[in-house]
Amino acid sequence: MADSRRSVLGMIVGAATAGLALVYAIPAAIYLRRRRSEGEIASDLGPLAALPERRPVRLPVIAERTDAWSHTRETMGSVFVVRTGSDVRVLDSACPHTGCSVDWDEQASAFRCPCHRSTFTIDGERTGGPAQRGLDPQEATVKGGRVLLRYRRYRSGRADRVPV
Amino acid sequence: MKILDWLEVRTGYRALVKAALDEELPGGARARYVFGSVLVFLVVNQVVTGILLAAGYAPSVHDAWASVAYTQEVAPLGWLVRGLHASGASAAFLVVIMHLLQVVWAGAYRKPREVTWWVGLFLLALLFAFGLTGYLLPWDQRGYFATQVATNLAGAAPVVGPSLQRLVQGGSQYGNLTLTRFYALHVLVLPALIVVLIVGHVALFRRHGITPPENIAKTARFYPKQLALDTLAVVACLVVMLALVVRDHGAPLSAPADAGSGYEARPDWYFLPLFELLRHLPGSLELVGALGAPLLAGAVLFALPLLDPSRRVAVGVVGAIVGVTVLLGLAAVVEDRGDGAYQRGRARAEAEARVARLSFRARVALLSSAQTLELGDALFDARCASCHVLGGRGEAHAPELDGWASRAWIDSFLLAPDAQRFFGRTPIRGMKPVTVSVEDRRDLVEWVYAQGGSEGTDVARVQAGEKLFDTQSCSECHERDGTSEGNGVPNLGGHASVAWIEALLADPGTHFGKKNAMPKFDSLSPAERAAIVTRLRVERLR
Repeated sequence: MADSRRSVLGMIVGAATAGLALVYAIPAAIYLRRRRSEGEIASDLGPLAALPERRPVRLPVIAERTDAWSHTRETMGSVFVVRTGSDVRVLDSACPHTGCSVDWDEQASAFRCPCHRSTFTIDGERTGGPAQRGLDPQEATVKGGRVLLRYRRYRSGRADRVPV
Repeated sequence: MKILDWLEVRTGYRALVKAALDEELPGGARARYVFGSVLVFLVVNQVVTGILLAAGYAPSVHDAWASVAYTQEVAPLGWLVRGLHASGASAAFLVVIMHLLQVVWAGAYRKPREVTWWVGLFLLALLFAFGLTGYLLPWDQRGYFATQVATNLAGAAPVVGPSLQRLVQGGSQYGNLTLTRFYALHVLVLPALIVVLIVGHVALFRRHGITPPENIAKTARFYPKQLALDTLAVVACLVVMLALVVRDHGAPLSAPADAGSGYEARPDWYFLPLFELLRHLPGSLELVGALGAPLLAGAVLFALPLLDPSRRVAVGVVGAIVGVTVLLGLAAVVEDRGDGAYQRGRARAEAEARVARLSFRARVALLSSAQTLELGDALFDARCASCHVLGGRGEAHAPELDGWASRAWIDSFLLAPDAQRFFGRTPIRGMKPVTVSVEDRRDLVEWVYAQGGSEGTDVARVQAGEKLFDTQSCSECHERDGTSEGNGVPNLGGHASVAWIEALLADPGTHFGKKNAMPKFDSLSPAERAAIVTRLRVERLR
């Protein structure tokens, strides 16, 4: 009799403790849950005429951004812009392997990642190293002589492009 | 249960659990033994919610308030996390006093439990240190000005005071280093100390066991009855905390700290007794009050097991200390209730706080239309209510804004422009009442109303009203093209439209010329301006 009372009380206490844990765990999970994706970022890369012919130029991606509690103009990353006549091609500077920022090697006429030595052609195609895909192309249009970018990042370390 | 057996062989944890649960309770389980367990729960509450808050906090002068406002206003359930942290702190003060009274009642500070008692007193002091350092972290008006009092008092202490003040402030003035140092104290130094002291406190308690009551009839064990009582008390404590947090939607957050503003500073409630003492002591005795009184009370409590008075004297002395403290705190509350100037200051501060929080929301997250109106209301209370009346709030020194620019308002205005509720209280007077037939007046009203937006207006009446405007000599004084200067008489083109109200806020003289007495409101953020415009234009639809 006394034993069964003991075990019933024990179960009630156990259930109450589990309930208490949930009162904290559930709000904590909601509070910390993944923020919604920021999606595409629009940025003005400046006048087309300022860009050299067929030579990649690194330009910062500057945009108005709500960054948790602040709303500011921030540099979000950088892109390489290659002009061919009146046409522009824009590539993300982030290496698709682990996200290091690649450099344009003038002598080798190739993009090189300084971290794990992936290499890419001027058009962003992968030519060597651990990267599983080429540099990520970015959407850009020319309006009123200015290059307008719609910047989007993709998850690194995989062969396909999955937007972050 | 193979895994548990594996763990048992390697750790012997079962003996530990058994020892914990089989603690002997001479005299059996009692409700007044629950406070220690509730305090352990509250410490866990502070650790869990504190870690979650720290995950969203930036200890810098420019970001601290915004990061806390983000947690309070934007992060999902952030208000709940904040509220539980604040109410957990308040609960800890209440429960620790109950715990202390129970210990004195049971004579549990006596030999051989002196060290347990002293460690407990240090824990109580740590609790105050937690409260003091945490209060500043949001960098809001409340924390900023109340903490100034504390650091200045510390600076007035003999010998070490000035250096101590500079050390905790990170300089001679408040700034980034003040926040980073208070933060380091609050989340690293004090938690480390409190964990060590709690472990020591509990270990010492387990070494000596509970103090056996007189005339023991039976002996029981901690499990299950006392554990069940403790759990019940913990659940009750959490339920009360949750109820308060939901009612208040989190914890208070006043406007961002502004060193240049006036603010009716008050400490959090557990410091009110000390605050009250300072209010009534002459300046020359302020150190005696601020440092001497708590030190004296602490010394008496510390000496209790050494002097070892009779139980009746001990209960009387500790009861007197707690009683006087509670009375001082109550006196502070009562005095503030009766202080009209303080209450007005508080109301002003609360209005500013609402503006700050909603403007913040508008900046980083879009406001819903209900929140836009709420911001409009908050701005009215903070900036307009000293002259205008709206929705039963504010003082009437300028036109009342209930139903402003609605058809009924325009109609009454045309009949008596100098009435008290219109321009009667201002230097802008002298427009003659409009004396046309009821039908013609309806046409004029419709035309003026349509200036704020033509949706839902009677087009025929608007056209008729426009003709009347020219023939009934309105146009002798008023322009109606919306662009040319009215020479102190409002150009009625676009009256009460978004652009018209925006021009009014930027410079009321644009519409009312030299007789205007309304100040410019040209430092509003775009979101604030939009909220006021929206709030006013709601009146038009009444």
